[in-house]
Amino acid sequence: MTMRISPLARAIAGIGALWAGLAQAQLAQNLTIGSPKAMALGNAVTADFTGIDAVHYNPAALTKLKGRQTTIKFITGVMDIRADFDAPADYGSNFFGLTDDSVANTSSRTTAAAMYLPGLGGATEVPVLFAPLAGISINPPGSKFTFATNVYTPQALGYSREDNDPARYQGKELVMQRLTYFSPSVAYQVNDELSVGLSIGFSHQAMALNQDFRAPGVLTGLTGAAQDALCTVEGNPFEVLLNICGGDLGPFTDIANIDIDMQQTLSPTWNVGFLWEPSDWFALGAVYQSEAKMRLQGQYTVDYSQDWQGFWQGLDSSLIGAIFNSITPDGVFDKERGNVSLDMTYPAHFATGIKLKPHPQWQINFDLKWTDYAAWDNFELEFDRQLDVLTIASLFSPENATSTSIILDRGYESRWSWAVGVEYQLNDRLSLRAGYEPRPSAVPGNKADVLAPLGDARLYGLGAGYQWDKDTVIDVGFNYLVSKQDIPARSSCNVNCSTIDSMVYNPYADLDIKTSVKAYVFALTYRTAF
Amino acid sequence: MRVSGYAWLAMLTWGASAPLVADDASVDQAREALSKQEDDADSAKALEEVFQAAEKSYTLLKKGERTLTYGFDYSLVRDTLIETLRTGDNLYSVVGQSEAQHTFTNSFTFDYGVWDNLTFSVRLPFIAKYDTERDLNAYSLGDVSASLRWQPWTALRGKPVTTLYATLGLPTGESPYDINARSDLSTGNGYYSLGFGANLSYVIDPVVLFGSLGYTYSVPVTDINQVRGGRLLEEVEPGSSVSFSMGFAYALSYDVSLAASYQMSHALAPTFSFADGSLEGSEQTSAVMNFSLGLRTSPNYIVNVNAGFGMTEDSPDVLLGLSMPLDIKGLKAE
Repeated sequence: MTMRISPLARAIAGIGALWAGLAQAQLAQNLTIGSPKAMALGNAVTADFTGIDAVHYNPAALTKLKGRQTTIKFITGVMDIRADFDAPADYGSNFFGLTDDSVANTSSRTTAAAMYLPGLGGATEVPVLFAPLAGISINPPGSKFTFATNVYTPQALGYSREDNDPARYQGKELVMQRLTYFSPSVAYQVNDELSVGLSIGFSHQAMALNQDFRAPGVLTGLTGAAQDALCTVEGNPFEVLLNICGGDLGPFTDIANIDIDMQQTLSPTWNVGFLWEPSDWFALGAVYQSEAKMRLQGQYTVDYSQDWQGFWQGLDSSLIGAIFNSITPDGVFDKERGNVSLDMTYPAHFATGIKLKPHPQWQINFDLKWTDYAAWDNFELEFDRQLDVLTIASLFSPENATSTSIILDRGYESRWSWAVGVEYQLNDRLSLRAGYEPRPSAVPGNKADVLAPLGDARLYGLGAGYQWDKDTVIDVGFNYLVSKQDIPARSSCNVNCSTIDSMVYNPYADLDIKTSVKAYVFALTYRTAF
Repeated sequence: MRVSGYAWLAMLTWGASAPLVADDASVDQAREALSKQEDDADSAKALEEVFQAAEKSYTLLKKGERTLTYGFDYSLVRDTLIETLRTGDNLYSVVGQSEAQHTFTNSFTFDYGVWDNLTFSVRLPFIAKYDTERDLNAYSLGDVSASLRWQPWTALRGKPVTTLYATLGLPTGESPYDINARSDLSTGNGYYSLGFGANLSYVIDPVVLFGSLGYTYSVPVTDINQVRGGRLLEEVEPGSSVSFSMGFAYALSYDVSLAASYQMSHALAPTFSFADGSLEGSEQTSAVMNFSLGLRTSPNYIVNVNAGFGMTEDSPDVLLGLSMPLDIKGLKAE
């Protein structure tokens, strides 16, 4: 019995395992705000001034925006995501010698960007990731208060892979997007040295995912090998007793495609910060960005392959299959659609930093940051009905699945990191900037995957600021982020384990995987008085 | 849910257009300053202003005029469903489902005078909803609505003023048909609606009488895929509704006014189409009594507070609200 159940159960558990990858996507903290100055200085700007983006980086710095100012921002970027799947010498030994894997020894690459357009829903492929954003600030004449609102994207990650891309089992399409569309903020200048600020963020959070399923492992290997042996004989007499020939169900068979589209149109957060500037050459700042507890809601579609349907229908038509009919999938559905929800926390973030000016032309920023990824202990996807695939997952692993939900243990770690930035004031108008930020991954090595392969990363920044006239400033910034992962076979049970009891989705079992992500982001802001 | 994109687009547009609004405001401001003394002397005008703040939908703006109003509303719906079960000759009453829904709405209403006798307005609600009985909560953009108010005849002293209106409701909130019915809360209707009707007001110093009559058509929802009570819901034909209201506003002084109103609406029975047959819902009648207090905090600034209660099973039990104009002109330099 277990033999037939478990590969499926693993596939099912995989539905949830996707979220492992999604979580990693979150680790792109500050990557898509698109503040040219913050980008150039490696995000070491907590004690510095980032124009209207201070709403995010440190609302206290908004007091530096005098009068009425407006900012228009353009941000564009390309992500080059690659993965190599190499078969080690003993590949197939866990699948009863089956090695006809179309994925083995191939490479995946995508640069196609995808966005979530609220209203349309789902992932929409766009030629270039591009967004025009804007904000305004008002400081009434003579007042110590500055009021502001800004439109920005704390998170904007999305890609689309080709239909036959080998990485389609961990993300054919993926979008994780958080858009803060309204952020009323207030900053108060306590005295010449100290400012404090608060901003409230109204955000739209979206998550869209499409991917294919397969379940290579010992059990599908056995099923596949048994099928190879038995199903070639026409009119096998055993079929009355046990029919496993209704459809292919080997280690490399496509089982289903799943599409999930969830959003929350209002997710409130708050940021609070202070900025202390006791002298011309020294400043200290800190900011706390609250977490957001969300309940994403949306639709799912599970599209079962002919092989899946045929296999279970065939099995149910035989004697042994009929006996266990009530606890095995029926295979009668071509598609299952309905509503799904997920409780998720956008993690809290804390940053503190200093700004030093050892020389009138030179400035050095140094920041320490912390993000509370430990909030991601587990995820629970709640479906509105009993899914064909869940029937079997709940039987096999009651602690991780019920007949209508999947619970995923994540166990992520909160991480401290640092960043450094340098600015050189070339003349009265032009300043040049550079920065570096090493970004340790919050995901333990044994949770790595291909869905959002952002492991330990390094971020390099370059940029410039130009004072066009008394009231107008133009800033440009460029980021290069690189992240490489090496996931040897059987090292991460989110992607390539092959043991019977690995109750997570491992579509690349026993393959050696190498991934790389290179992101190039460019942003320009134009700030002027109105 | 699908439309919600337009909602935030609208929001963006609003954000972007705010500076423009400020530019034009300076002319209005100058004009207002000049005409202020005249306004002050005219008690009927002052009264109308007070009443307008209390019952926003009765007022029209001058051409090109823009206002932004912030509103905070709270409502409580406390409900216990009692199911009656029959076993042989015995009847048992069982509490089927108990709910206590606390809804907090922050809304921004933007009004724009297209002509002197035609006003366009858009309302963006942000909703936080808690069900303390079932321990659920939801945050979401609510149903965005847009409306046109048109005054076909010029107002004459001693004659009632008639305003015709049309309203379009967009299902930008979380639809009750797109959620997991057991464990989630909805924050919207889930369907498009189109309403029209007439408002009437009549001034008898120091009182303004007002009333309205309206009809709302609800567009059927198709392509639903929701499990409800073990059955698969596929289509809903929401019932259309008829509403009416009446009330009066009374100016206690130049700075303080009171208003009381009665609102009632009757919705026809909706039809639910399940995969295995259809079901007729029940007709609903809601009636609400509302009292409001208008306080003039500065010559051009009226803050309105209201409290009300529902009078039928289908109405909210408690209603509280606060509304105040947001000063767009403040964006502009003095």
